[in-house]
Amino acid sequence: MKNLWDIFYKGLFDQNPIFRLALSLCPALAVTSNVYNALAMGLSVMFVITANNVVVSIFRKWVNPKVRVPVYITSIATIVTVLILTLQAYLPDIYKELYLYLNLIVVFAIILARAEVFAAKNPVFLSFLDGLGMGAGFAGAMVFIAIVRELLGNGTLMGIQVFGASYDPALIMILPPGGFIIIGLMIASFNLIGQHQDKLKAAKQGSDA
Amino acid sequence: MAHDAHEQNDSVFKVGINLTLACLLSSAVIAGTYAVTAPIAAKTRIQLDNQARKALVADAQDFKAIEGKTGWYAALKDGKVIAYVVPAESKGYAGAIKMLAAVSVDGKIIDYAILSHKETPGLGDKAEKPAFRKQFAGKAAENLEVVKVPSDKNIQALTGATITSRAVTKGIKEAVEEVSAFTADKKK
Amino acid sequence: MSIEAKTKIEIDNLMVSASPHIRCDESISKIMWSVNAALAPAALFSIFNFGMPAFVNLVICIVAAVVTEYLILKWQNKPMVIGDGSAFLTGLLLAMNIPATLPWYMPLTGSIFAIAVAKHTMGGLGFNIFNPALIGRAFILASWPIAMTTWPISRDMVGKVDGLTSATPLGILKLQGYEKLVASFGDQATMYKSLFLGERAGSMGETSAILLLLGGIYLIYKGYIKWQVPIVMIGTVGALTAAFGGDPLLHMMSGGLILGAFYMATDMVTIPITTKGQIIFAIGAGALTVLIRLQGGYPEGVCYAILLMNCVTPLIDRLVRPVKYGARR
Repeated sequence: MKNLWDIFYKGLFDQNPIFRLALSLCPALAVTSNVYNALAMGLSVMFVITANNVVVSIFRKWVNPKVRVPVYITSIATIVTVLILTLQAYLPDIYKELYLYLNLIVVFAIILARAEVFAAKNPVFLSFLDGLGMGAGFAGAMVFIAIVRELLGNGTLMGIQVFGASYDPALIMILPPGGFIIIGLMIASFNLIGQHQDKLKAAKQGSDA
Repeated sequence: MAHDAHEQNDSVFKVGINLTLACLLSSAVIAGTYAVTAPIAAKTRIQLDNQARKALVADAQDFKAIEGKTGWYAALKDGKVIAYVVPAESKGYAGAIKMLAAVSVDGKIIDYAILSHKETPGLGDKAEKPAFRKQFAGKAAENLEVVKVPSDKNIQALTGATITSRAVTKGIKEAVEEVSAFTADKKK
Repeated sequence: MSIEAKTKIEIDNLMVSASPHIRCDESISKIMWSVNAALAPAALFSIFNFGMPAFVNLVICIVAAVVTEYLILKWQNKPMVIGDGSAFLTGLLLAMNIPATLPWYMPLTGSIFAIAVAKHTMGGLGFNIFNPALIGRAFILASWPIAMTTWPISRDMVGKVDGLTSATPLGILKLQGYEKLVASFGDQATMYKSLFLGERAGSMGETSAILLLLGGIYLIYKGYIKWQVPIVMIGTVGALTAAFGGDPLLHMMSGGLILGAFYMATDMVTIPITTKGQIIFAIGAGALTVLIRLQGGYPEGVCYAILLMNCVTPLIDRLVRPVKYGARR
C-alpha cells in the first residue's frame, strides 16, 4: 500500500514536472494568467498523461521496441485529438481559450517520458497511478502559479473580485515576465525544501548509524 | 544482451506492421470520436455565433446570412431588417484585432464585440469593457474619431492604450462605412 | 608545464586587473557612500522641485531597500553589511528614476523587488547580473504603466502649463514632434537652459543636468568611476542622434541619460572589469538608447539599454580579457 502511495505521491513534490523537473514550461507560462484556463489546461494534461500511461501499459507487450517512440507519440496524439474534439463539442469556451496549447500537449516531454520510463515497464494499475500523480503535480503547479498571478495581476480569482476595487493590480504578474518570476521563485523554493529534507534525512541516517 | 539480439532479428516488415497497426487503431478511435462530436460541435458553434450576434442586437429575433458577403448577417425583427452584423478587423498594438460590429440600417454603430486580439492585458484589452464600448453606440462614421479632449461627439482613447483605441475605432469605422455603402447600393 | 597551461592557471587564479596593485584605504562602503553623497544635490533638488511627494517617495524607497536587505541578510545568516550603503544607494537610485507622484505602494514593491529578487536571488552584492535599481524601475513600469508615465510638472512650470501633469520632453518629442516641443518651452535657447537646470517634467532625479554632472565630476575626481564610461555613452547618444537627424543637445540632456550614464552604467558590479570593456559597454548602451528613443515604442530607453548591456557584460569581459605581459594572444 505504501508503495502505491509513493508512486502517486512522487509526482506531486519530489518529481513535480514544473517545479522540480522544469518540464512543460511553455503552458506554465502561457495559460497561467488566470486560474480558470490553468485549471482546464492542468486537467487536460492530467487526463492525457493518465490515459496514455494506461494505453502504453496495456499494449507494452506488443509494441516493437524499435518503433516504440513513434507508437507512443501516435498514442498521445490520438488521445489529444479525442480530447480536442470533445472539448470543441461540449465545452467550446474552454476550447477557444486553449486550442493553441492543446495541440502542443502532443509534444510535452513529461508525457513521453512517463510512457518510456514507467508505463512501458509496469502493469496497468501502477501506470495509471503514476500518470495520475504526475498529472496532478502538473495541474497543481499550474493552478498555484495561476492563483498567484491572477490575484496579484488582476485582483481576482476565477474572475471574481477578491481584493476589492481599491486594489491597483500589478500588471507585470499577468504579463509573461510575471510568469517567469513566479516559476523561478517556486523552483528556488522547491530546491530549498528539497535541500532541507535531504539534510534531515542525512541527520537521521547519521543518528541511526 | 538477449533482448537486443531479438531486436536485430526483427525484419523491417515486422516493425512496419507494428507501426501500421498502431496507426490504424488510432485512426479508428479518432474517426469514431469525430463521428459523434462533429454534429454537436457544429450545432454549438452556430448557437454560439447566434448568441454573439444576439448580444449585439438585442431586439433581433432572427439572423439571416447575406449572400455574396462572407460573415455578413442581417438582423431581422418581424421580418424586417433592423441592423447588420458584420466582421471588422484592424491592426492593433501587437497584432490583428478581430471584431464583430452591429450597424443599424441608417449607418450608425450599435455595438461591437472583440472576437480575438493580442493587446496588452490590463491596458489594451480594456477596449472590450463596456466603459469604452458604450462610447460608440449611436455614432455615425464621421464621429468615429479618437480625440484627446473628451467630448460626446467623438471617442476618447483608453489611458495608456492610444494605439489600441485608434485601431478599434478605425476597424469599426470601416465596417460602418461598408454597411452604409451596401445599404446605399440596395436602395438604388 | 606548457605555456598554455601555465597561462590558464594564472588567469584562473590570479587575474584581478593590470598591475601595479597599490594598497589604499578605499572600501566598498566608502565608495558607496561617496556615490550617495554625489547624488544628494540632485535628490534634494527633486524635493525642492516636486515638493512633499518627492520626499515621501525618497524615504519609502530607501527605507524599503535597507529593511529588505537587513531581513534577507539576517534570514540567511550572512554578515550584516547594511552599513556599506549599497542598499541605500539602490533605494536612492530607484527613487531618482520614478515620477514623484507615484502612490506609496509602487515604490515600496519596486524597492523590495529590486533588493530581494534582483540582488539577493543572484547571491547578493557582487553577484547580481543586473543593476537592482533599474530592475526595480522596470518592474514598476511593467506593473503600473499608466502611473509610471504620468509625470508631475516641476515647481516653475506651475501656472505656465495646463493641469498638474505633463509629458516629459522626450514624450512630447515622440508623440507631437520637435516643433511642438520647442514651442512648449518658448524658444530653443530656453529649452536648453530649462533642460540644463532641471525645469521640466520627468522622473524625480533626472531633471537637473547640472547637479547630476557636478556629482559625476566629483566621483570621477575621486576615481570611483572612469570618465570614459559617461562621456562615451553620452557622446554615442549625441553622435547617433545627429546622424539620424535629431537634435543631439536635446537628446543628451533629456530623459535619464545623464543619471544613467554617470550613476548606473558605472555600477562596478554589473559592468565589465576592464576600461576597454567598459567603453564597449558604454557604446552599446548609448546606441541602444538612441535606437529605443527614435525607433521604439517608448519615448525613453536608457533603463532598458543599460539592462540589456548588463546581460552581455560577461561576454564583453571574455572578449577583452587582458593579456599577461609577454604572453602571446
